[in-house]
Order: sequence, then C-alpha cells, then structure tokens
Amino acid sequence: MTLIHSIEDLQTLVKEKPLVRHMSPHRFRNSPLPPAVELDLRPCRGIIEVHPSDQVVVVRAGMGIRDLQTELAAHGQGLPWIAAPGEDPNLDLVTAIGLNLPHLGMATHASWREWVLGLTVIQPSGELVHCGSRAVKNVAGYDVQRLLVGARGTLGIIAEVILRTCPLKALPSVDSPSAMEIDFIQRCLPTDFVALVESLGDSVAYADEAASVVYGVGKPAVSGSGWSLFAGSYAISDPVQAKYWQRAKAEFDPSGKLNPGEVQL
Amino acid sequence: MEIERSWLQELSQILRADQLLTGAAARRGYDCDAYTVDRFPPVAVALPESTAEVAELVRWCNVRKVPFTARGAGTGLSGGSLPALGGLVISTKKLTKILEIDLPNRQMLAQTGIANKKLSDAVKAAGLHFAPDPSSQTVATLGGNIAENAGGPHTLKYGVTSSHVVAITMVAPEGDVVELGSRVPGGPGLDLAGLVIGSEGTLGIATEAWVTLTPLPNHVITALVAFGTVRAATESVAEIIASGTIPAALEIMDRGILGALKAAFGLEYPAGTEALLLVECDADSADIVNAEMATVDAICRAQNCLNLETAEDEAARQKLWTARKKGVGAMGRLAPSIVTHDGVIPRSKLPEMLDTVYEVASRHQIGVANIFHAGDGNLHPCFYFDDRDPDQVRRVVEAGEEIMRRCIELGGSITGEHGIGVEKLDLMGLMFSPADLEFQAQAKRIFNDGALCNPCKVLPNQKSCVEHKSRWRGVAW
Repeated sequence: MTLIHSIEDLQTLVKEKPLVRHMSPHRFRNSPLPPAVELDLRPCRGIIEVHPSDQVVVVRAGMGIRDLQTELAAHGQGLPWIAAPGEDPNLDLVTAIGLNLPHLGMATHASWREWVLGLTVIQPSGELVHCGSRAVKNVAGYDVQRLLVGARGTLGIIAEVILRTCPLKALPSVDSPSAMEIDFIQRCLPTDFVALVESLGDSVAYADEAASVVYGVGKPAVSGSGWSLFAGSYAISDPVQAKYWQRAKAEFDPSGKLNPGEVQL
Repeated sequence: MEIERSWLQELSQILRADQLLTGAAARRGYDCDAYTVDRFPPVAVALPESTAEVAELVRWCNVRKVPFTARGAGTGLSGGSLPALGGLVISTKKLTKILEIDLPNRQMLAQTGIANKKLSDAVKAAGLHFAPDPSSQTVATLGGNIAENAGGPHTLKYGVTSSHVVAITMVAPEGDVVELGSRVPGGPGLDLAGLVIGSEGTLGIATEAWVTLTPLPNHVITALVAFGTVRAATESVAEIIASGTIPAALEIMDRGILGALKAAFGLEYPAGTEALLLVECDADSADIVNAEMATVDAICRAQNCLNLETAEDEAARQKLWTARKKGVGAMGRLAPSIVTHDGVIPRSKLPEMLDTVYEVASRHQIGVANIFHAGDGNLHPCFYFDDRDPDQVRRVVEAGEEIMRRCIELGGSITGEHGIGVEKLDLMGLMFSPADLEFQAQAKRIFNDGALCNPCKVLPNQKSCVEHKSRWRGVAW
C-alpha cells in the first residue's frame, strides 16, 4: 500500500505505474481483484475551502466523512450523510463517492449524485482535470461529475471534491443504528417495500422505510423493481450499462489502468 | 437549401405528409429558438409521433449523413435547438401523451413533448406537482427541460430537473433506443441519465421519461419586499440563507424591470423602490412557515426595507408573483430585442456582482434590467436593444462576455439554467482548460462520436462548426 500525501504524488505515481488501485477496502467492492499498485489516498485529506454562506465545501477526497463533519460543524454546516448500518463512519470520500454508497438520510436529502457539484480528477495519464463548479446551480458543459459518482474509480481518480453542504439545523434527524454486519443493500419502489421486507424475512437487519431501502444479511431478494448492492462481487447484468460502461472505459481509460477488475463488464 | 426530392421520398416512408414541413415559412419558423441572435434554417422539420418514428428518422439521418436537432417548444435561451448545420429538425410537438401516472410511488411516465405545466396539472388534484418550474413552463416541454436541465424560481428548495427525472427513453445518435436510469434512484453504476440531463440534446433525443412528483406544500406564505437599494435586497438574501432558512423561492427584480412593468401593466410600487425581493416560504406545518417568515421579516426590516407585504391565500399570492412572472414579457415595451444572460456566482457575491452588471451596461451604453433567482446566485441581466443595429449587437455581446468573465472569477459559472448552446461556446474556454474540455468531450463520445446529433453545441471548436459559425449570426437580417 503506497500512502499518497499530495495530489502531485498521486499524479506522478499514476503516470508511472501500469495498473493502480485507489479505493479503501470495502465489502461492496468487487473481489477477487487482479494485482495492481495499491494507492491509499487517505493521507491526502483536509478542507481546501469552506463557504458556509454559500453552503459549499472543497475538500481533498482522501478525507474521512466523520472528520469532515466535525470540521464543517464548526462552520454551522454538515453533510446530510447518516452512515448506514455496518458502515465505517469515517469512510473516506473517494470510496463513498466511487461506490455511490447509500446512507440513512437518502429519503429526504438524496445522495452523492446531488451533492457533488464538481471534482478534480486525475486521469490515467497523470493529467489533472476539473469538472463542475462551486456554484450550486450550474449547467455549463457535460456533468462529468455525475458520471464519476458510482463509477468505482474506473474512469478517473477523484482527488478533490466540491460538495454542497447543509445548515446544521436542516440536517436529517435520523439516528445511526448500532454497529452490525450486513451483506447487502436493496432498494425498491415504495409500493414494493412491504413485499420486499416480507420476502426477505429474517435477512432484514435494518429497514429504512422512508427511503424503501433494506440493509440485510445473506442474499438480496429477487425483486420486481429497484437495485441491490452486495458484498464481494460487482457485475453488470444490464446490457445498456454494460455497453456504455465499456464505451466510457474506452474513452477515459483505454489501457485499463484504473481500478482493474473493479467492474465485471 | 431546399430538401432533395429523393430525401422527401425516403422520409415519406417514415412519416405521413402532414408530419413533414418543408416550406419556406416552416424553415424560417424553426431557424432559431428564443435566443434569436444566431439563426440557420433546417431543410425540413419532422413531427414524429412515437419513439419508433424518432428512431427511424435518426437512422435515416445516419444513412444520409444529415445533421439533426431535436426541438421542443423552442423556448430555449442559448440556441440549443438551432439547427446549426441545417439538416432535419426533429420536433417533439406531437409527443405529448402522459403514458402512466403512478400516484402511490409519486411518479409519472410521459412523452417528452408535453408542456411542463401539464405534468403538474395532471396530478394537482392528488396534491402533487412536477417541481421544476421554468418561467416558460406553460409551453416549455419536458424534453427541453431534460436537455437544458431546466430550473425555475422554486429550484432553490426543490432542485433542478436532474433531481426530478429518474429514467429516460432515448434515441441514441445512431438510432438505437436505450433505457437510461431507473425508477428506483440512488443505485450503483454509471449515472447515464444524469449525464444525458443537461446535455442540450447532443447525446440523443429523449422521447419518454419517468419523472418524480413532489407533494404540494400545505402552507405557503409569499412576501414581496421593496428596498431603496439593490444592495439591501441582495444582502438580505445572503442573510436569509446564512440564517439556515431555505425559502422555496428568493427572487429579485430591479428598477429596470419595475419600469417595464409600469409601462406594460400599470403596476406601481412604493416611491423610491430600487429593488423588489419576492420570498416564498412553504412547509407542511404552519408553525414552520410562520417561523421562517418571521426570520425573513426581521432580516428585511434590519436592512431598512421600504415595504413588506405578505399573502397566504392563492389569489393574493399570485398577485405578488405578478411582477416576477410578467417581468420578462414586460420588457418587450423597452426595446425590440432582449438578450437574457444567465451567470451564476456564489450567492455571497451577489451584491458585488450586481454592481459590476450596472457598471458594464453603463460603459457599453446598453439598457439593462435584472430579474433573477437570487437564492441560487443565478443572475439574469437582461440587455434590451435593437438587433437590427449591428453595433448594438456587438456591444451586447461584449458586455455579456465581460459579465460572464466576472462570474467565473468569483467562482461561479457562465450558465445556471439556460445552457451553453451556441451562445456561450466561446466562453467555455474561460471556465474550463483545454484538458477539462477534452474530459467533457470524452464523456460526450460515450454516446455521440459523430457530427450529426445536434452539432456545434456545448463544446467549442467542433469540426465543421467553426467555419460555419459566421453564417448563423445575422443570417436573418
């Protein structure tokens, strides 16, 4: 594991190495993964700019979410993220955003795709690029940042993030459940929720009814609607996702350098 | 260019005769959207009635190498539906059906040619609405809203189109029909629908979409506050947001707009009014709304407002909205042409930015009026001028670019909701480096690797567009 302390280090290493992997260990990552140079971005952390009156923070992506919350709170702001059952409360941003991880404030405060206003990204060549802006409302150009949220680090390495923040008094009022191990997260349409919970039976560890999300042990149910995320493997079955992910990979990372094996296409 | 006879014959295999407009009047009518500075006529306008027909048209365009541009109601403000290289305009005018309303899940499936407001009207009785509310919502289409990621006065609290469209049926640039997104949002994988929303019709033609429906609030209070200076109004906005209150809408209109409203509709405001601030607070509980409005009231009074009028019932609230809703239309009284800019700045910079707008307009000797989404920091300086006078056009373009530069310097954006289109192509290089633009081009090529689907938009310096550009400007005069 190579510790990354600065964006310049990251650029240099990414440029030099043929295969690099950069997210923290997480049960929702694919496994097993082929060999690659492991980069640990967590030392590359800290707030770069905070603008409470604009409700915007610019932060290095290795920063842990709990640490970010602590620092934002001093400015009367916070991220509407409530760690899901089984989640490390100080998970780093680059992993949470790369996996588009669900959380317990989703019903009222949406998630990463709505919060990420802009990104600084390291490309496989080591080149640094920006997308989005600090403005809360911005339609200039293509929203590449939306594409990178949930892309599992396969299209670029997120080095810095511009996030929309929320006044403390407007944060979701949900208590984090006590620590538990879960194997999957499953979300469905609200009208399918009762049936989903019933079909899962004892597998349900925590049910977030407001967002129609179940956190469970064992295997997710076969459901008529929605999606699931489960431990140990990530494969694309939807042909549209597969086709365009392949095209995206061919554009952004044609040599397959970034997070090899993280997605089975 | 007249359409070739052989093309007509081929298109008649796809469409009925009344679904294809080829006359001079149609070609003239479809040569621009509501951004009228740049124009170019299509060879024909197609009016498909189904996703399958759109797909057939797009495949035909690929075979014949004909550029094609989707168009909704043509209310776009940056030239997004300008057929920049001619070719075929594919109108969604006949794709207006609501296909499914799922009230328990608060979602609706509709064809994309439907007017924004009709979506809300269809579910009003159920206490729901489609939240994005661009000022053109009575005619602007869902497809146009998706293309431009449209906003509106209430996006401050409710978010823009991308927060309310979960799945899209799209005809991709080569003619494949693809389903993007999911009715159950927030899942793993690439957010392809998120990339398409706001891509200005350059990644394909959306023909159907699942939208989410938002409950109408039980309690709404609207306030119209008159200020003796624009700065007092903008500073009030910054203080309201800083207090942690997020109103549903925070809109400002300056003296230029008030003058137009007086000329057009005889509307009068207190003597000495330099700016009006419209604030709307809504919630399910009266206590919350009252508390929010008390905060607003205290802040505005501390900023020495001249007058503060509130309304709770629908008719009285709509009366307070008159100035905001009729403001742009009223500007028709001031000059033959209006160019509405769309810069964004972090809202804390609003007071400073407004000063810049007035200074720039005065230096270029152009009339300016401001009507804008203050809560989002989304400015709409409206320059009024005569577009038959090339010198005035030049000054309007220069002043606009100066304002945009300042928005970028202050950490903002060159467009908050109107899009890049062709209008702001040259400004993209101010906001993004060549490497950033190539990064965006990579994203574009995931869907559109050719030069046929709405060419010359969003990204500058596209092949065969640069040399063509001089033909757009002033072509109609």
